[in-house]
Amino acid sequence: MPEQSDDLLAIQMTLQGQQPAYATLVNKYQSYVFTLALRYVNDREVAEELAQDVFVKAYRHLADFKGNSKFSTWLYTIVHTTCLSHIRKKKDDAILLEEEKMITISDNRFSQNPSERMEQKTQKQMLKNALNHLSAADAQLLTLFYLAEQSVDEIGIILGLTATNVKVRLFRATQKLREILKSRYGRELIG
Amino acid sequence: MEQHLEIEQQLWEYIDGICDGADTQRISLLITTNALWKEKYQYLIALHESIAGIEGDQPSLRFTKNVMDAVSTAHIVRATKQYFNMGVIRGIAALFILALVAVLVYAIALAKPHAGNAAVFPKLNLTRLFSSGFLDLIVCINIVLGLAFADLLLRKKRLHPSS
Repeated sequence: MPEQSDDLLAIQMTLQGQQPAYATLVNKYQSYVFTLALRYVNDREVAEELAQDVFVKAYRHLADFKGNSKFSTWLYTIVHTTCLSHIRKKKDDAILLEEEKMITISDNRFSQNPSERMEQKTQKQMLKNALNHLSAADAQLLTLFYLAEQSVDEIGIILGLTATNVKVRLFRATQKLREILKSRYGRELIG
Repeated sequence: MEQHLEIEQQLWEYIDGICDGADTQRISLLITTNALWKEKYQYLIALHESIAGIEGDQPSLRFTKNVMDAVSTAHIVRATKQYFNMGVIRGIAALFILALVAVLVYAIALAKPHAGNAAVFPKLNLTRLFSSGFLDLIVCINIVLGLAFADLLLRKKRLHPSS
């Protein structure tokens, strides 16, 4: 796994005092962390602050990374706890947290005024918008699987689920995504 | 309807590469031989490629610099395992196990006296050991230790409220 060994090398160098080596990890995972944080808070500014906090915490506790799992898996646990702490403090009314459940924000939060609809031309943009309309838990799952390329087993470890549960939830999330795409954009997107 | 959902679920697992070898072969065959499976597969593979092609959102251009500025003043904390001296933990565990074994042996020996073999175990006079004075001393020590620990914890929380 060359990717994993690159990460381990950067971590070792950072632990040896070569701080610039940490920048390679930040550059590599900033999109991943930021996207995940955005799933929790739906505010770019806040998500960026949280993502920054995540990397600082990861830096401080880098010695605790054992290398048994992917660095992205370990990073995710920090994202999860940081974002949950923030949400509990701020009591964000966009996303209310109940133990392990996250409730979807209302459709009105995402502006769908006519000019924005006109701008949503590209397929990727449509999919991104559709993802935003999924529940945070489903969007998170799809992000972990497709963007972060975590395996089903790794996602199971992260979310505390069995591999079978992950598969079922993945399927349901993609089904919901399809329904959103059909209802909002018709069939122009796929097929 | 349920059959369609079942087919789609299997196809998703096939496309995502998360079904086992036997199922992979079976589904491959179905895709090539069954019109319904083929149609659904073509639809889902297109959707899968679209989803897989989604890029993550990007933070601001200054993000990496902001992070590196923040970590420049931070210190890497020692690994958690280094806080614990395993020798001490093993020693305490050994102490408890030995004490339990000793109590067990003593209890069994007293419970089953052999006529021809006089038990060598002396009967301990525990009332003398657990006199009120001795107990009071133990309780006082525990209270002082408990208060010291509570003080340490509260002091730490006051200085670092976020932790």
